[in-house]
Amino acid sequence: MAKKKYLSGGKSFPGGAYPNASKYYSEDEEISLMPAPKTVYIPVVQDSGGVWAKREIVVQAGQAVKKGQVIATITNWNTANVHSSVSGIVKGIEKRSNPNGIKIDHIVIENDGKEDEVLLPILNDPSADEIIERVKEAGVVGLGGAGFPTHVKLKPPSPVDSLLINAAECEPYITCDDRIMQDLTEKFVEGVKLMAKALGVEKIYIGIEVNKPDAYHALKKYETENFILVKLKKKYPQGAEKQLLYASLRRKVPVGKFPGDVGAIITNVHTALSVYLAVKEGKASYERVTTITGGGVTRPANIWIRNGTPLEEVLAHCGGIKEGEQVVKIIAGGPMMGSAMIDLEPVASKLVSNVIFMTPAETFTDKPTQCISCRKCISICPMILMPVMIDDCVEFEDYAGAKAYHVNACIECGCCAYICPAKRALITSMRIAKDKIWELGL
Amino acid sequence: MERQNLIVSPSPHFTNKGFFRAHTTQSIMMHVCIALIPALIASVLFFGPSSLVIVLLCVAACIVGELLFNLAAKQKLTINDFSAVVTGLILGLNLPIFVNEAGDPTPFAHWYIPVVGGLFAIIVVKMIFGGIGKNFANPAATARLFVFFAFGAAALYPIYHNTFEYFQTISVLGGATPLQAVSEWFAGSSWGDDPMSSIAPVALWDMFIGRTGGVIGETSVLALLIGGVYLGVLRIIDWRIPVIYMGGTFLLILLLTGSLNAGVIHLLGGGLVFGAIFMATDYASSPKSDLGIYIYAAGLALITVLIRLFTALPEGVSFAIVLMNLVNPLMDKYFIHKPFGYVKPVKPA
Repeated sequence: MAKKKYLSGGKSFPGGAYPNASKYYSEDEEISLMPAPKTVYIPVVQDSGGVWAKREIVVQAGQAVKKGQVIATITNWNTANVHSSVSGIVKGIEKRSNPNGIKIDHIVIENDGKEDEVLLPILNDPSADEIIERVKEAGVVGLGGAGFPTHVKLKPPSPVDSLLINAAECEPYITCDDRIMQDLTEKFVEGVKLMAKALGVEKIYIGIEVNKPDAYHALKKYETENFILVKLKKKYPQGAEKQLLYASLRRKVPVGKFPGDVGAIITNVHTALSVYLAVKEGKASYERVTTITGGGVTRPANIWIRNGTPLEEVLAHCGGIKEGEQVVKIIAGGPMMGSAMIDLEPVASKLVSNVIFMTPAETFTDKPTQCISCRKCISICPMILMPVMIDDCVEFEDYAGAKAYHVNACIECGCCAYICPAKRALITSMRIAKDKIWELGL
Repeated sequence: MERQNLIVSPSPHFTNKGFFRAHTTQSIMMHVCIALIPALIASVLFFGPSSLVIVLLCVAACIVGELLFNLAAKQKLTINDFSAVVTGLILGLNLPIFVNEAGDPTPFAHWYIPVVGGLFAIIVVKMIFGGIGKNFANPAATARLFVFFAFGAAALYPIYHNTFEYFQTISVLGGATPLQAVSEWFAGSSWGDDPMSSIAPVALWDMFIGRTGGVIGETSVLALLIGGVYLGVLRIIDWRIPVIYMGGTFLLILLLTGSLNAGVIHLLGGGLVFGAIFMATDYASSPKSDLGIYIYAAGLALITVLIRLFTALPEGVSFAIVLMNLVNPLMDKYFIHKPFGYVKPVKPA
């Protein structure tokens, strides 16, 4: 396939990796629709509230529900409403694995095929509070993968002056944001403006990596002095919020703080689209554009998938495993930070932006060997940490030492393990160190 | 679909691939071997095929040493990572050509020197301390010093008299290498004197391409620079170390002797370029932090200059490298990078 001509220039941040973007599988596939499945299994955890927090399910087995009806409600400040993605009968609650392999509650709904939808009233000229209230009602969460509830994000504790849209999509393979900017440009731009209104900010920045020339040109005509496109270098992790904010606005987020503390709110492309759909079309967040990609899938695609659709059916919709290919890893999320799945039991949800079917040539199976102290991890770390020293501390169970090397500032982007010639599981060490520091109260 | 074949592992699931991106330990070591090929070719051109014999003996000793240690310690075999080959090559290129009374090269007469050196480098300096990445000092530099002290007078000095067997255009070289000559010159010179006459008939150009005396791999600065640029471009070595080390040495010599030519002779002569590119940049024995690297490289330059100018030894690169290697664990412990967006913790009043 012909390589796309990248835009020139672009801002950046210190450190970072240059992984093979591998977006060519799906970047030219227009967003398509996948028909709703016979039965959906809607996970009650579709936000950043964590799998162990208690959820409140507001439907019972045997109850008839409509599309867009609330089936689980907000229980905590960092959770969001969950809506039914089909109309039909609730069959009960089933334990299924989420992409991390943890068994969580899924509400089973049998689709009656009528597509009866509960639409929220359309707001033509909403005030800031109306937008936030609507976003809360519609269960919009950050659709980049973390799932932080957007209604919380739109009420920052300290004053902010800019809204920064993360259109970097720095993870290899993922193309859903790229396609949204091209195929649904107007809705996306409207959504961004609604968010800016809710936040009460003037300046809107769109941080976009130079490997998305089509999306850049599609957005170019909306550019004004308050709607600014920022070209970013093709580099990973360009979309990590601290790196993105530094690259586009040259603001440094202090360790342990959030972008809001330096006056900027960062949100993802698809989130802006969902805000538009909630406010202007009255649709709750019960489906999302998901990229199905990788060398192992017959027809890579960017598809609107209803929450709760089993990935088995999604794969079948995309033509199944490619003839003659062997799939060795299935990843929910990007290849740098996503999780490898045990099987295809997990379902599509707000938190699954991407499913990659990886062939042996795309991933790696090397066993870790002894560290050769080559310093590549130090020179690549976007947080300017020293992963090799932290790894050493973890090996000798010196967690106080790991803390002294600032392991708590690690964003787990995976650059160090990506570059490591000895293929050491550095990210695992970082996580162990963080957990132990927390556990031991260091 | 065959589920039992799915791999479940922590992120990232993507890795750096490609030989020229130096993606594995093995490929890094192979690139270092490739970078040493110009120096090896130069050594054969200037010193004859016996230099190849010495280098190969060294490489063989290193591989056998690692293999024996693996077997004795019941470890998994680690010789396939090529690091023993690199150590053997570097050590071999750091040994002199052996000659008999008549001045003919006799590589096998002192066969035990490369063998003992190679075994010492691998077993004592590297494997006992935990193998690759765990050596406390550069194995080749340490082994070079070891054979220098163990066999010095017998094995090392004859080289300086009979080096121009091949590609010889200058008919007679005095009893000393240019570095020895300039070292003797310094003792009796005053600030600003020109040392060129003391190293004649060798010219600076001869020293650059390698037509001069010394150990077999270090004389051709041109060949070494080719290897150094190769490694620097592939980001296998940290270019800051050789640049600060060589630049620092040049400036210090310039400052102390007041002669540009003396600076250039010290830069081109002896093991400075070889040591700076291939030995000072050894991963395990160089510091991890940026500040550590600057101090390390500056310290190397300072110690080298002090040894070369103010002691009886003409050559100080190996000493400087091993001495600075020993400071590194301390620097790694105390020089910690400040993370991105670091704020000083406020002490409770």
